Amino acid sequence: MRSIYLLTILLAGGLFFTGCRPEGFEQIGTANDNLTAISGAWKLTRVTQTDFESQRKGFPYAVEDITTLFNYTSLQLTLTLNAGAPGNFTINNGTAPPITSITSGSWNVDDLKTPKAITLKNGAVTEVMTLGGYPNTINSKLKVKVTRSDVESNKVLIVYDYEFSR
Amino acid sequence: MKKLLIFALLLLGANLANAQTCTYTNYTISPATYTAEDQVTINFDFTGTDLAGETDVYIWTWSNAGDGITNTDWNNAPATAKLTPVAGSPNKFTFKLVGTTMYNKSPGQLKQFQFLGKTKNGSKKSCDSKVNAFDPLVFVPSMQRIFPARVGQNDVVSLYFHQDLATTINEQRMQPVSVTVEVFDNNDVSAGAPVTLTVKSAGEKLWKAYFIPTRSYTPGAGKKFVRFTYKFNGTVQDANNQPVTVSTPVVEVPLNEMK
Repeated sequence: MRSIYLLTILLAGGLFFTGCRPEGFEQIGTANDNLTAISGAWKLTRVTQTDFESQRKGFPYAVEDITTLFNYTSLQLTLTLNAGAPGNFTINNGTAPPITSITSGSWNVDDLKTPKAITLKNGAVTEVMTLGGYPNTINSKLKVKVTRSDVESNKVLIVYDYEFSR
Repeated sequence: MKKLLIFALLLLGANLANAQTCTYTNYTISPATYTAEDQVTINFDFTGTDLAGETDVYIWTWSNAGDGITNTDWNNAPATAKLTPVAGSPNKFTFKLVGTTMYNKSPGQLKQFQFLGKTKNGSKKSCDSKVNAFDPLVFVPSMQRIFPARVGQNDVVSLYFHQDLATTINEQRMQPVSVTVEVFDNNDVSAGAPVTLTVKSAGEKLWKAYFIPTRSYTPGAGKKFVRFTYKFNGTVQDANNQPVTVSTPVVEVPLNEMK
């Protein structure tokens, strides 16, 4: 009985010291450079058009893939970095319908570390693209969303989703 | 003499009939498309009508579900029905309304509305406006539709013909071939010769064509496109097995100003 008692104390002491041992965690690495991930030359691969009001009301015809209606895949977007910060952009429409009203100028983001929106600017004209996710090793696509609203009511009527690949 | 009298009566009748069917069209509604729950602004221009020169003009309005709440007394219009004059623009007025409030009906009950302008005591009035349709709040299947339901001049517009919803023999039997589209600018001037689009099958008894207004036409300087019309064309076989060209009704679509 006494030996069982001693053994229990030894085990509890061993567990106590083992529990206090500091663990060596792996380095988590440097934070993702999201600006670099979204910069560079991109080719448009997919376009979908969403009727926002129909989607909101639960109507049957709300989303269509319109990639093949026009030669959208001939469109290229280039976002250039300048000393690690957003610099200039160019959009070569090719034979695709324009996806923005401007095709060159400067670009910027709402947050340098975790951008959620890209703003394209040329003079007084600005176009905002909402980011759908950062390209990474698992999903290398750049996804952006452009909304079109009615000038009078300010209601969002159409959402275009653009998917780009390198 | 009797024939002359009959002829004169016929002329008078025709004239009266014409007077009954005159339509007031010199107005715009913004936004271009709206549901019964949206506030709309009606922009009136009474130039060239009986109301030209009047400074106090009132609205008289009605819907498919009943009269507007401002229609209290034709001979003594209330202040709530008074149109707002546009400063510096004689004969031009505006009036804001929300369908559900104006007609005191639920959105599901309201499909369309009309109006006219009048003086306070009703001694002068304009013709009845065109029928103005509310956008539905519940989905209503139709033989012809566009996607998206509201578009601007720079948007991709898909035109659909649901042949399974056709009600006439020609529409049910036709082999769709093309779509005729015509675009109009803000002066209601056609942007050019109608374009012919090729129709493709998009499923069982479903046909589709597509276009972008500003890709088919270029707006003139300072102009913008505000509406377009379309119809599907096709062929049916006559009794001698010869092809005959038939078309669906022309559908008019307003173009929203987008940002």
